[in-house]
Amino acid sequence: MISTDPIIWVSAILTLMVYSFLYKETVIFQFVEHLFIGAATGYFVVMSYKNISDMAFAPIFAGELGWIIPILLGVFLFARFSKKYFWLSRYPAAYMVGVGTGLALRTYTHAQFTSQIIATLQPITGVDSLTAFNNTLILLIVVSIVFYFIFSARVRTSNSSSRSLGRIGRIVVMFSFGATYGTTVATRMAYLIGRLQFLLIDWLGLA
Amino acid sequence: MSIINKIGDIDRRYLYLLLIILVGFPLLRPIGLPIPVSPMTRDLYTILENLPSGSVVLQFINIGPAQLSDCGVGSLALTKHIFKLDVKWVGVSQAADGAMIYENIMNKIGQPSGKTYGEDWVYLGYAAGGEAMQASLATNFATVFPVDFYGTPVGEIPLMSEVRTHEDIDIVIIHSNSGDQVEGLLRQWQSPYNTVCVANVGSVMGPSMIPYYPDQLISVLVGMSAGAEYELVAGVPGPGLTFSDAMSMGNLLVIAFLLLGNLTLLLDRSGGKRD
Repeated sequence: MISTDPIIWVSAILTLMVYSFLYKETVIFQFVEHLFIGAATGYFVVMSYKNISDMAFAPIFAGELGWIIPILLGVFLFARFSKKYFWLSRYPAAYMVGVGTGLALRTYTHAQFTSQIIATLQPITGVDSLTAFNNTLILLIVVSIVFYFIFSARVRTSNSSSRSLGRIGRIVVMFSFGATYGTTVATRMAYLIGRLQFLLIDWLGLA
Repeated sequence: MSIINKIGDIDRRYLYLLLIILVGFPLLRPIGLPIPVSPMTRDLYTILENLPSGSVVLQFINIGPAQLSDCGVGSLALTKHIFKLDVKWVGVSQAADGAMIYENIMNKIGQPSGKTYGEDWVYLGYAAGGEAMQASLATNFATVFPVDFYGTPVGEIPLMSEVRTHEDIDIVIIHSNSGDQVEGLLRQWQSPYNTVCVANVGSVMGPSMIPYYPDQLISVLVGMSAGAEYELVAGVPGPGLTFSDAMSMGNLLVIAFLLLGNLTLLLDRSGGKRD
């Protein structure tokens, strides 16, 4: 049975307005595009204010005055809009870059470098044949891609074995791009399925 | 004009229409195509089932409404399953719209049987800060979230007296469509503290997250299909099982388009220039 919920009706009509783009771009699509951006921005501003209020304003009013410093740094970011006080915005920017870099570098080497090398060098003896094959394949693929990127600039002058390894690397990179393309399609397909489910079942009640 | 030329020049709007019909039909009349369950999904189910009583699960709900039909399927299935277990649940968000997704999930689950908000589960809400927020959370929950999403001070929430730092968390599950957030979790939780981490990510992120399995991420659920697998293995039916037939039909159509497109291109090349 078709829905009688006005919220569902509004959502369904807005969804159809968005999908009108599939036919061609019209003022209907542009209207709903702007409406979406406005609503999303409004929601984000409210949630961000709630975050600052809970985390900083409330403690300040409770006597924890140290929270004034990050708020002040946040306000300084808006100095970018002033030619006279532009320089003030450099302090919070530098602070954010410093904290971000420090936090990432603290464990980056372990989390995304050495751990990945360890994951690449898996045993090929003492395991079942399929696992041994897989582990060999992983090693071969990683080495061949490294060869491809190292020697791609001067592949003509390198020897035939490194050229062959580089070619394998290139093919594997193509496979990787193919997988990424496939999963990108799957993501978009999932979005479409979600909307169709909403239109056909939640709105029109066809199932 | 040959058939090859006609296929190559077909108006893309007919293809959209065909896609909508093929994807929409299984939603109304499910076909019941088989859903093979991957070892990653099965392992995660076993790990969650074997969590000791009173364990604490931390979930980062970092997805937005757009992802509800993709990795949101896994988010719902996992949360449903966790609420069936005798474990505690703490939810946080790094995405502003994460709160919306938490409420959406809880509306679908309903009041969890035998569980009380504040004692068995708590949602702390959204906090900005990205990776810095993840790092701070690991060392002190109360600094990042002085109050929960509904404004109750964490000091007044019984569960939060047990959950102060990463040491009080048994497993972290991140639902995200951003590689930075998952890799930030690895850098700020898994690597320094050896915390058990799981990622439920959008389909598009699958190829970049799988390399972290199984050493750093004990399981990676990728997109809607993994969510459907989890619904099946955990016995928590949801949208994934309905969607999977539609996904299969859509993917088959895209594969057919790819083959046809390449075939027309090859035939076109072999037959000289087009009309």
